[in-house]
Amino acid sequence: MKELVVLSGKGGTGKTSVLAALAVVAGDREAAEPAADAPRRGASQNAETGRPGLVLADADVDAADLHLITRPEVEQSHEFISGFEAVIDPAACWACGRCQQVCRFDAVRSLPRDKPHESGQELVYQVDPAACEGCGRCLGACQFRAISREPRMCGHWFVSRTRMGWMVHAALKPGGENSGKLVRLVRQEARRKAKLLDLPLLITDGPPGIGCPAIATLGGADLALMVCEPSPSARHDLLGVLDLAEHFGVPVVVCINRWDLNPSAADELETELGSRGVDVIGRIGYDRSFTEAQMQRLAVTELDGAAESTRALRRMWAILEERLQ
Amino acid sequence: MIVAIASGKGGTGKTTVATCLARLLARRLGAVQLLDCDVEAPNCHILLQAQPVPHAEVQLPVPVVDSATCNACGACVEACQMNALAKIRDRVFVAEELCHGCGACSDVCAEGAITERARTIGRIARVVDHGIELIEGRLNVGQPAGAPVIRAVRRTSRESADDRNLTIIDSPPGTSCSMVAAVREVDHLLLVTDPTPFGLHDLKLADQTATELGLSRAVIVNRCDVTGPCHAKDGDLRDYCRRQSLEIVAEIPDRRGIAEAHATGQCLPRLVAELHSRGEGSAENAPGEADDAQKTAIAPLAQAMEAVADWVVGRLQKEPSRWSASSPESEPRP
Repeated sequence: MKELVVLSGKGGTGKTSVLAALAVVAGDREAAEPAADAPRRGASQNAETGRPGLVLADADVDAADLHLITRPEVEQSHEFISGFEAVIDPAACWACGRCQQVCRFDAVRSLPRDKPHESGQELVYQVDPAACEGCGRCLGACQFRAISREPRMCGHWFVSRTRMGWMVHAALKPGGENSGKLVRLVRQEARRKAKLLDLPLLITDGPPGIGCPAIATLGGADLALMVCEPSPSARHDLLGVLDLAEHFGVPVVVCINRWDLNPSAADELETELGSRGVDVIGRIGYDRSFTEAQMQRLAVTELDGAAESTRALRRMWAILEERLQ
Repeated sequence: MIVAIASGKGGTGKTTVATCLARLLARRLGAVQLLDCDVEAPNCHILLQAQPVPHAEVQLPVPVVDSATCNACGACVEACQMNALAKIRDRVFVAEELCHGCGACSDVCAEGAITERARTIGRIARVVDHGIELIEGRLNVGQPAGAPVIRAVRRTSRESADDRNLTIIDSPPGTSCSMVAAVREVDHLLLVTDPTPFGLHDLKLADQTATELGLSRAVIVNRCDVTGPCHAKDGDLRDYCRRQSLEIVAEIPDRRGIAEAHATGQCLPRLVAELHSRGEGSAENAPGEADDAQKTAIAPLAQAMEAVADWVVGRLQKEPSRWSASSPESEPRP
């Protein structure tokens, strides 16, 4: 099983739209030539799933959008419980303030009490769950044993069927912690699903940025496709994510989306990447069909009248397939 | 007053809005602060065409275990909730990249074997340009945690503010801990979105996050004229805003010209400011600058940005600000 991850650095360059379009093309291939070159993966998985031979994973867990295109039928739903958050019992708090002194995340606040307390203190301390990282340092610091820790429900994750194949995805609770851990879990479950059904391909939609969710997406992937634009901002952020991929030893290819918004910058980018040993494997023009497709909850390669972009994406998939061998 | 610009989805136009707004308001108010809190992909300096200079390193404390004093009791390993410490054959090892720097391990070490060392995870840079004090945070490649860098940007903002009474924050996308670190303790949150299914879905997530943080929210709709069948069970973007009583402050139409100006690296904040000052005889309206076709193309953006600037100035005049760059850490103004 091979895993392709899609990343970009900058948000909004078209990661999810490109991924959905490629998944359709990849699915067509798998369905069209079932057992031609790989007898094990053809008929068996189609009999079992009735779907093409790939698994999708949405690792952009705090702004997951792939499901809006794939429209999954959820088969399994699980809670994602990870880490702890500190809770101060106001009745036991004597407002000594030690917890606030030791907290390095500015997560403890003092507020006036609504009713008098045996300590005679007018203040009570409270943990802001949005800032608490669950380290538990305040528990040890509290002489009154007023602080406990509670398991933190950080979101949900799902295993679903889609028209493109199986899909593992998640929804981080708004403002939730531990998004990197949830990404790792989504990828792990997607790999498990692919291995179990003996499916040859996993395509993972990554988050923007270079922090823990992006790191958790890259580690151990076989190939990373970076979706970029010819703008100075997108180039700047692409360079960051290329460094990250290098750091983790993941091979990279690049797709330049909306290249015709600045053709000379697209050429320069291609040259610059070439000198780094990174290949640009496709260019997609500025095409309102992407928005049109999204409005209809389709991948652009499923839309009539997006012939040019569809051709570009099919060519790109052929190269990706080769690179994934 | 602190106004944060955020969105669930990436690439909706946060940085364009933040930088154009900063430029317009710097002229109206004399000076503003702009915090680039999108520390994994900081782009404000690119749009402003300004070069921030290094200001400070962002460091996290990490434990150093003295193997001579350590008796391998394992209390630190047990105390660490981040799994950053491991005991292997009577020795304690530190996985620095997992460490959040909370200090719990040194608290529990009875032998006093744990000291702390500062580890650099990012840096802060600063520049003043056209009345905008830009403070930029940047996470180093390979480091996982952006939130401490964002907190450092906001600390720097508090230290450096003097007479500036408006701070604009460019938030990272998403709704996780980084976004929360960027937008907590602000007076207003402006959510930039577009009317696509992705835009609406991620706006809802960002709006829920902001609601949990108790923030006042309003919306800026980018690419506002993108329309099509809406398959959301509960209606489209405007239905959602109406239902949640979210004010739509401004709408920016979908124009290839704006996308091209961005892609070709035009200084959108400057062009917007020049369009704004046209007819006022301002010094910024220097003749022979960017060509008129370019300006015509981005005129709708300039118009929308003026509306946002008016909105912010209106808030600034009307209501007392709870937060300001000069208020002490984590304490709202009385």
